Amino acid sequence: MEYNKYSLVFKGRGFEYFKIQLVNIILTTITLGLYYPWAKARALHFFYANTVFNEQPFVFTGTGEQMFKGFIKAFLILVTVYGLVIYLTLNEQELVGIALLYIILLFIIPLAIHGSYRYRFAKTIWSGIRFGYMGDKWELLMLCIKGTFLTIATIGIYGAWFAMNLRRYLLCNIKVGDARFSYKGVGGEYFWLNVKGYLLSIFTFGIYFFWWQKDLFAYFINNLRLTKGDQTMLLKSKATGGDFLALIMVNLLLFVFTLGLATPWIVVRSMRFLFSNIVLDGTIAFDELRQTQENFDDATGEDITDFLDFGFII
Amino acid sequence: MDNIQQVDFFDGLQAGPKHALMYFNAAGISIQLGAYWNKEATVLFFPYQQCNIQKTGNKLIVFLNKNATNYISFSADAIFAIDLKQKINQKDQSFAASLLRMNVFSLFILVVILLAGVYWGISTIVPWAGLKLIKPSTETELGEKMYQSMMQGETIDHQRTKLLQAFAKSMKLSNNYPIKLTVVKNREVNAYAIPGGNIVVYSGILKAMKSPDELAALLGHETAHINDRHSLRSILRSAATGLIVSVVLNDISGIFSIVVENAEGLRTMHFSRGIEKSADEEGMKILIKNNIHPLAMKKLMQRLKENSPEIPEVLSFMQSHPATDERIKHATEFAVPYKNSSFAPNPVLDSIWSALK
Repeated sequence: MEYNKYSLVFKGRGFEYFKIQLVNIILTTITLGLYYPWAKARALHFFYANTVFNEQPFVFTGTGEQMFKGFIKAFLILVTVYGLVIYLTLNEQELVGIALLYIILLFIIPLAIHGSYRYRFAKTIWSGIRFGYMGDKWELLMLCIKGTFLTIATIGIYGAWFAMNLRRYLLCNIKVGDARFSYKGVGGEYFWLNVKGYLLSIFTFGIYFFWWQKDLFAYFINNLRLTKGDQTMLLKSKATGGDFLALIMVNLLLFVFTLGLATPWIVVRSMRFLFSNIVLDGTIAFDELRQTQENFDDATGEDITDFLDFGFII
Repeated sequence: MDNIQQVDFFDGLQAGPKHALMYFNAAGISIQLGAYWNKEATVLFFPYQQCNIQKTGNKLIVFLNKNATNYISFSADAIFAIDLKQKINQKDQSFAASLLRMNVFSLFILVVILLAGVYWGISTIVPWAGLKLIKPSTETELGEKMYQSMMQGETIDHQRTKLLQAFAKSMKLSNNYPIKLTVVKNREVNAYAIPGGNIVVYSGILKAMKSPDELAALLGHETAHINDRHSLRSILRSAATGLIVSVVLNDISGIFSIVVENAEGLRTMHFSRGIEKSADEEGMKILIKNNIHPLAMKKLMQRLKENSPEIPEVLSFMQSHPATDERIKHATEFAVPYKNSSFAPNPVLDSIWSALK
């Protein structure tokens, strides 16, 4: 097995993204929002195409049409749910309505995450090789129900364990061809990392916040790896707290002094920053990666997560 | 086959690039694996409809199918690149593509114009539709709720409220709304109307007035605001504006707080000059209907003007009714035709007035 260093670079330019955003705003406005799925596809396409791993770009092959179908389904599902809740509320069954809403959301959110992951990764291609999400929706559902109840029962403390269990489950089920991702972050470490970050941020009047961000990023990246048989690729963050301080302060100043107009540049420079601070090395021979994952066209989950506004978070 | 080019080919089975030869014509792209073109060997053909071109760094990538699993890549500087690019991009005649070809400055101007248009549209359409949809009875219900919440923390003068209610009852004020009066103990010279029929009068303004017809003029003016749904219109307009802001900032809960804030704003509601003028005019019509000389409106305004310097509060009745002189002039002009008409004294109003004082 040969030891390699791999490269991961973001090549997108703020100007280009700004233009894409302008076109998206125009089309979304004149279609009263219906253009949204196509706008999203265009933005995703930009981000993927400009992310280059080992000289080969990623490709997002999802289309506006697919996401539009999902958009309509997601819309109908959510309208039905909210309609039911509003109906109950108007008939003086507020408590029943709200309880029902929470229960339904508890079921819908994991299923939406599942659908979203399946779609997004099936549409992610690198070097002609498809990604894929192999998780089981019922396992994910059980994990989320258990996590939610324990988090409520422990007044939020279990949240750290819940977050890590969820992240582990999702990431460990992502494949690219015949290579598989794995994540080994655990709740206990994550919990103390946050306690430390929180307390030190208070004691240092917020200055430690940037080092806390650094730790969180490192905890995400350093615990992630990709394996293919007995070959492995390790990831490592080399960002320092100072780097994060510079990034966030400059972003803030850019945002304030341009009244938000610089947002595309802020997004792009943040992407560049994150990618350029990941060191990748290991023994995987990427040229030998094989196509194993199937295609998947249903974007309903993707769109529900959009409507509920929690984006695509790992 | 003179224009055969060497490219890297990705076959969608294994990740690494493979050496391949490519040539293209009017119909599509043909590819053969290997270093030498062999007429006997298999040629893969891809029609342009399935293809997509993209530039990443210094490389051009041509995706050969919609799944992007098969693609070729070559240097962006290659001589044939421009020709191939043109052939593939020919099909893209969409509106989005033509927008993307525009320059950023024009696009930016277009966005600004569009958003300004949307802003104007919504802030016109929402109040218009709202006024059509909200029936006076619903307005009264909503207004009552706003009234309840606004009266929290105020001291109501129950005795004067009863008297003022009797005063209003003996006048013909509104056909559509049940006019309900409340006197609040407050030295401020202020009075305001809540949509749906509630009028709140501060004891300060009652103290400042010297005759029953001035009070009648005040009620006439406030009733006109209610009858013409001025407050509702204004609430709807700022709710619409708030709605836009909330959508832009992605904060739906904001809409509810905006409605609440607007209810609070009624106390100091600042109508445009035109709306105040029309309320004065409608108020004077109400006075005439009640057999009271319209000049009472002028008297009321002069009285309030006299009182204004004494009021320390910034949010006084006078300040929320600007250009008083102009309005006095307007009231005088309106009253000209009634110069010689006689208006009989109204003993009922007079007696309630004395009780109020």
